[in-house]
Amino acid sequence: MIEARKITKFFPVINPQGLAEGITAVLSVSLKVEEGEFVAVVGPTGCGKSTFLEIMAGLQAPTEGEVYIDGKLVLEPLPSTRKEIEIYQRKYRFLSPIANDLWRDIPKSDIAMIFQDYAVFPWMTALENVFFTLTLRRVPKGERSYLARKYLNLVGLSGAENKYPSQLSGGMRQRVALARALSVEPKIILMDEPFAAVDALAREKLNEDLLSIWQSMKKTIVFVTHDINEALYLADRVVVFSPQPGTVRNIIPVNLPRPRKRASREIGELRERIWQIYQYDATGEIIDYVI
Amino acid sequence: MDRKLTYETKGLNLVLKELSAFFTGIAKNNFTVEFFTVFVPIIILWEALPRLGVVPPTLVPPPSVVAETFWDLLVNHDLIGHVGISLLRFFLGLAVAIVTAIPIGILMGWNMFLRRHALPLFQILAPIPSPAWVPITIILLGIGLPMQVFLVFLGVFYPVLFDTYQGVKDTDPRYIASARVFGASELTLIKRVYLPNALSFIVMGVKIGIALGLVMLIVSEMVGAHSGIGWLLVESKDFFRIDRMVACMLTLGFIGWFLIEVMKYIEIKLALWKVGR
Amino acid sequence: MKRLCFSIAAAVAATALIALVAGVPGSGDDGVIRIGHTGTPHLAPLFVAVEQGIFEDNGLRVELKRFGSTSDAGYALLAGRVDVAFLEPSRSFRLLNEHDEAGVKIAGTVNFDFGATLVVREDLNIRLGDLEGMTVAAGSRHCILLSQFKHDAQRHGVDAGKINFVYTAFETMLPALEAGQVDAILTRASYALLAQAEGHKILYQNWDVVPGDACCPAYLAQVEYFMLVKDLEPRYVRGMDAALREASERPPEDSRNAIMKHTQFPLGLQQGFPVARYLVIGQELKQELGDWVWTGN
Ligand SMILES: Nc1ncnc2c1ncn2[C@@H]1O[C@H](COP(=O)(O)OP(=O)(O)OP(=O)(O)O)[C@@H](O)[C@H]1O
Ligand SMILES: [Mg+2]
Repeated sequence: MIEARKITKFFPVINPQGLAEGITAVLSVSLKVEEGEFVAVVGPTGCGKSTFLEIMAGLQAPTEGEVYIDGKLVLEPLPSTRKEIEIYQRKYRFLSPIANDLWRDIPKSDIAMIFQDYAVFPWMTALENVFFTLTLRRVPKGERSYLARKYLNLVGLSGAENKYPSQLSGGMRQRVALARALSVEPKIILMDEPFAAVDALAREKLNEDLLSIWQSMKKTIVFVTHDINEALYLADRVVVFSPQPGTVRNIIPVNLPRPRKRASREIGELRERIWQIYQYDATGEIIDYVI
Repeated sequence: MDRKLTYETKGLNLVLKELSAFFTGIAKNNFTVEFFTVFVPIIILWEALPRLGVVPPTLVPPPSVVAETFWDLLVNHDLIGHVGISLLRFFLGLAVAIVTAIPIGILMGWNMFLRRHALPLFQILAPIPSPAWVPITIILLGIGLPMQVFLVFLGVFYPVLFDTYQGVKDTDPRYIASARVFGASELTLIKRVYLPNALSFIVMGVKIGIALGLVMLIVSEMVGAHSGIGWLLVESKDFFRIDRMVACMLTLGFIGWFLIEVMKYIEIKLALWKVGR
Repeated sequence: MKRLCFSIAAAVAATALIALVAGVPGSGDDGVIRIGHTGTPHLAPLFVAVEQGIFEDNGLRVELKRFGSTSDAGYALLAGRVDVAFLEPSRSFRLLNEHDEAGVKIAGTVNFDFGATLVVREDLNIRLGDLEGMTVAAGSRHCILLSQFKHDAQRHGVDAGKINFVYTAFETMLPALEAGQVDAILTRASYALLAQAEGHKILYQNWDVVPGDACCPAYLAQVEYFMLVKDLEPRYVRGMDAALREASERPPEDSRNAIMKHTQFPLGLQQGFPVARYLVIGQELKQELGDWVWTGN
C-alpha cells in the first residue's frame, strides 16, 4: 500500500531576467493506493505528474509531506528552516540523500519504475538490461539467463534478446523497460507515460499485455498518462491533476467490469466528465453540469 | 557485427581474428582510391622537384633517398631499438596517466563533494602548456626515464581527465534514476552506468592524449635523453642529416597514426552499441 | 582508377610547370653580405669590424644574423639565407661531410688562446687541495691540458691521483657542470670564459700550454670557429678576410667593448682573458683540410 501525505514540491528556479523565483510543481497531494489496485493519473502537461511519481519512487525528496510504502517512510522531506538546512547539508555532504548505499546493492523488491522516455541502458542488450536488475536482486548466476528470457518472453520480446536498444523500435524499448521492471518482482510498479511514444495500435496491444500481466501477477500499479481513454480502459481509479501547481482535482472511480470495451457508453461518459474538468480548469467555464 | 562468432571463438583464434579484422579495417578505411589520388601526386612532386634541381636536394631529400636512409637506419643504426625505447617511455607515461586520470575523472564526475575539492585545482593547472613543465621537471627529476615518463604523463593526463569527467558528469539523470529505483549502490552505478556512458568520451580523451603525449615524448627526448626517436631527430639535425630527420619524422607520424587507429578499433569494440547509430 | 591516372598526370604537369617557372633566374643579390653568427664573445673580430666600420672601409656592406645555435647557422648557410657563417670545427666538419656538393668552403679561422683552466661549480667553495675525491671532467686521458694540470697540481702539493677524472668532449662539459654531474671541469680557456659567465669559478689557469697531441693537431686545437662561405663572390671573400684581419689588430679594449655591445657579455668577466683573433688558414691547416679550403675559384 502506498500512502502519500500532503506532498508538496517546490523548485527554485532563476527566471530569464536573472531573478530567483520558484515553481510549485506539486501542491499538497494526498493519495492512498491499495494493494493490487490499478490507479491512473491524468492531467495536463507540466502539472507535476512525473514529479509526483518520482517522489513516490524516492528519486526526489519532497519539499513537504511524506510518502509511506507499507508503512515505511520513503524519503525525509527537505529541510525548511536555516538550522535544519545546515544539519541536512552536513548529513548529506558526501552522498546525496537519494543515493542508496556506497558499496552494497540494496534491492528494493517492493518498487519498480518505468520512465517517461526510454531509460533502458543503450549500452546493454535487451538481455543484459534484464540481467542488470537480476544481478542487483542477487539472483544466482545460473538462474539469471533463464529468468531474463522468461521476462522478455512475457513482454513479447523473444528473439530480440541480443539487440541493443538503438536497434529496437520505441515500443520494443518500452517492453524491455517493462521486462526489467517485472524481473525484480516488485509489489508496486510506477509507470510514467510508458506508452506515450508508441503508435495507437501498438499501444492497444501493450495495454492488453499490461492488463493481463497485472491481473495474473496482482501488482499495484500507478500509471501516469496523457491519454484519458487509456486511463479509463486500464484503471480502477483515475486521479485527475489540476494544472500547475498540481493538486488532486478529482478522483474518479471506474467501476466497470473487465474486459472493458474502449468504445463503450460508460467509458464515453466518464471521458466526457474528465474532459469537462479539464475545460473548466483551462477556461473557468462550466459547460454542462457542476462537478 | 557477428556477435555470436566473437562469443564462440577463443584463444589464439580469437587473437588472429581480431588482428585480421583490425588490419582489414585499416586498409579499407584509409587506403582508398580517393586517398591515392591525393597521395600519389604528392609523392611524385616530392620526388621530381629535388631531382630536377628546382629545390636543392641537399635540403629537400626526395622520398627515394628518405627510403634508403630509413633502411640504413633500420639496418645499421638500431632504429628499432630507438623506437622501442621511445615506445617504452611513451607507454609508461600513457599507462600512468590513464590509470590516474580515469579514476579521478570518474570520482569528480560522480560526486559533488569531491568535485568541489579537486576540480578547481586541475582547472588551474591544466592551462599550463605541458612543454612549460620541462625545465622544472629536469631540475626535480634529473635526466632519465622518470623525467621522460612524467612529461609524457603530463601530456596525456589532462585530456583524459577532463573528458572522463565530462562523460561521467553528463550522464543522463534518467539512467541514474532508473538504476537507483532498483536499488543500485553507487559503486554499481559507477561500474555499470557512469563508466559505459562515459566510454566514448574517455576514448576521445585518450586519442587527444596520445597526440599530446607524443609531442611531450619528443620534447623530453630532445632535451634529456641519449636514445629514442626524438633524440635521433635532434642528433640528425646536429649532424646535418636532413634525410634522417625526415625519416624520423615519418616514423613518428606513422606511430601516432597507428596508435590512433588502434584506439578507434578499441572504441568500436567497446562501444558496440553505438555502431549503426 | 581513371581518377588516379588523371591525378598522376596532373602531378607530372605541375612538376614540369614548376620546373619551368623556377628555371627563370632570380634577381641578383643586392651586394649585402649576410653573416650568420651565434653571438658568442669568441667572435670578437666580427663585432669589432662592425663597430668600427672596418667592413665599410673595405667596401663591404654586411648584415649580421644571429642564430640560436651554430647548427641553425649552418642550415641557413646551406639554404642560402646567409652567405657567411661561423661554426665551430666539429660542426663544420659534419656539415662539410654531409653536404660536400653544396659548395660550402672554409675561408678563415677565429682562434682563441688555449690555456688550461679548471672551473669549479658555483655552489662549491673550495681550494685546489680540496679537489681530492671529487669528480672532474677532462677532455681525454692523454689531453695536454690534463698532463699540464697534473704537473702543476703536484707542485702545489695536491695528489692528482686522488681526483676522480671523467672524460668527455669539451662541448658537453658545461652542461654536465650545470647539471651537477661533475664538480669541476678542466677545459680550454674559451669554454672557461663561458662557464665563468654562468657564475662558476676559476680555480686554476695556465696559459703556457702548447696545444696539440696525437689525436688533435696543434693548428686545429687552437681554432675556435671556422668562417664558412657559400656562393660568395671572391672579391667579397677577400674583403671579409682583409676586414677581419684588420679588426684583429685593434686594441683589446676595443674588442671587449664591441663584444659587450653585441653580446651583452659583461666587461668585467672578460678581464684576464685574451680576445679572439681572426687568422688566415696556414699551410699546415690547409694540408689538413684539403679541398674544403676556399681557394678563390
Ligand atoms: N528539476 C527541476 N527544476 C525546476 N523545475 C522543474 C524541475 N523538474 C520539473 N520542473 C517543473 O515542474 C513542473 C512539473 O514537471 P513534471 O515533469 O512533473 O510535469 P509532468 O506533469 O510530468 O508533465 P508531462 O505530462 O509533460 O510529462 C514543470 O513545470 C517543470 O518545468
Ligand atoms: Mg512527465
